[in-house]
Amino acid sequence: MTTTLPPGQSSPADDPQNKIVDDAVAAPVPALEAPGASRQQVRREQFAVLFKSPGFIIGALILLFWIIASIVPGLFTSVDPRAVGAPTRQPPSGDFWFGTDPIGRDVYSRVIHGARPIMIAAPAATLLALIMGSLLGMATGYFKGLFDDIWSRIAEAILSIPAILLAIVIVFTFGASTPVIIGTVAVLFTPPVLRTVRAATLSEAQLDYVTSAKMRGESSLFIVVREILPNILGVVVVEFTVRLGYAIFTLATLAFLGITGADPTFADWGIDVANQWGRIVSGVWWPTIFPALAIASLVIAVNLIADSIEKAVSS
Amino acid sequence: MSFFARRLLLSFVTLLIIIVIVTLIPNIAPGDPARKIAGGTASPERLAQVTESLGLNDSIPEQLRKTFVGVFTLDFGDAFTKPGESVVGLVRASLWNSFKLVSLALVVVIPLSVAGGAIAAYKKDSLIDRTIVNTGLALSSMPEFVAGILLLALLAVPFDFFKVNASAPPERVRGVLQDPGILTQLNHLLLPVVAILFVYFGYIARVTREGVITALDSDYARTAFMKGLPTTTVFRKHILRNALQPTVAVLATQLGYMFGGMIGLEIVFNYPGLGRLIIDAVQSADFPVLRAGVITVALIYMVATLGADLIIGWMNPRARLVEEA
Repeated sequence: MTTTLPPGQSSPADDPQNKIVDDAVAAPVPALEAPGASRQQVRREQFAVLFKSPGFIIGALILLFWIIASIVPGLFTSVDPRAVGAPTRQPPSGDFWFGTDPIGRDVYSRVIHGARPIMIAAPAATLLALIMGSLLGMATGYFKGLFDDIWSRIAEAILSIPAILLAIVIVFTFGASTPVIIGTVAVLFTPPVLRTVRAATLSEAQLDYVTSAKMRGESSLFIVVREILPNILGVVVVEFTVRLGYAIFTLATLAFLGITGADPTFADWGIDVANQWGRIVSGVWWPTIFPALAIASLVIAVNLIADSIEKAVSS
Repeated sequence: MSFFARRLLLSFVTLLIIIVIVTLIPNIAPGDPARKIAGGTASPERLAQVTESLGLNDSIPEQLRKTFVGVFTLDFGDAFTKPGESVVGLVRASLWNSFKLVSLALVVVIPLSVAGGAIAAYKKDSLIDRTIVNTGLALSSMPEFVAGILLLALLAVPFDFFKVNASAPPERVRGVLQDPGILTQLNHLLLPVVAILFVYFGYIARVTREGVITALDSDYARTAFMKGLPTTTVFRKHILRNALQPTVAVLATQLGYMFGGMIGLEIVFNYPGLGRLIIDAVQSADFPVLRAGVITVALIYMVATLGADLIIGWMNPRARLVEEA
């Protein structure tokens, strides 16, 4: 952390005049094709590493299960998660796999149906953060200067506060609704994406292919989008999976704290844990532990995938 | 400008930005935030009170001035929902509780995670390495309230030794209520500390592991081993000093989270720390307490990262030079 260049300070290598550009000017076409071909080859090898990694396979299977459950919960259960007809406080049994809660709802059905809210909110928030963070990160890393200084300071300030705290403050004043919560998590996850993409852009911008594109007279927009972006895509993909894990983590915690836009009777893991955990002390653990384990399984799955992708990209 | 002065200035700017952000949030909220917070059926008096608590009766420059004055004089007036109790007094009480929990957690987390990371690095790619790394990853994936709830169900409910409550009740000694003894307090703090260990073990062990692997690859480590020094001596005298710099940096950035971000854990174990103060302030619509709590967490982060810079500079004098170039 202490070894990164301070924002706005450029190394001598950034100065195009210090570079030997003759080669790039003389033969720009082959110089551009060669990295493209090797890039495909590298990608293929990275995928091979990825699909052989046990962590990735386990993570992908768990994630796939929750994706299917969130799209077609009917595949796994025909019980209405809001129906209250069953006997109350039944421990797990053959009839009620995960037992029933104190008002007679089927916990298994609530766990299956509870996947949907977080499987929509978490990827949506992550994707928004990824788009904003990548755009700002590429812009700050490429243009540097005052623009970079200002954004880097703001990002640093937001990163100095636990995301969950700022999320509470924002949702508290903006009013708790699903769009506000998704937007808040997206805004709070933009700085870490910005920082990662900025660092990757900074190191790419020093390479010869960027210099040669500048010499060809390409516009900044073309250089950033068509030249730099494809080369930092690995970083962006890793960042997406890492942030997705944190987004699930943060959204589940917000729901547990009662900060949610959802109707509390709808199945939602965080809300169910919040409503039921007080009964653990009296021995009724099943309405809490099963949704809690569902949250844990989803975050672990995403983190296993993130970890494997990171290893594959750096291999 | 010296390395440390530069760092100090940057942290100061960071703190100013945080103060501005926290003060401005109610102003950029759409509609009438006071009505949303107070609820649709709130009386006009209540509505006026919430508006006042958000600072919305003042102009934005005036709001900023008041917050800055508050931070530098350590006086934010009285809490809105608890007349007669000062905001700073409330923050101080919960800060002390958080301090107890966090320092105990650090005493447990740092040695265990650093040892775990060092062992994993030393036995790189072995079964024990994979076990440490993967267990750490799985445990730290759980939100801390999930870890807390699992510990509650698995340990606190079946076994009397483990306590459901993190704060020990006052003890009656010869008819007088007294603070519980230190051992009782430690006993009550045990499960939350284990939950914090779950959250951080994997993270810190992993950073340490990377650092140790790099250090083990270095010439000085190879030389030390070839001189025939015992492994423990090489680790203690040569490896850890160099390998632990990223660990120190990571710990510092996480200290603010340990103080203010463990809200779910403080709720599960009913512990009156900073996180609880902040979420209670949300539930009672007490914006001055909320704002002071968040600024306190930012201050902790600032002090911790500055402290880390000093420690890293002491561990590795070269780090001090990097940014002066």
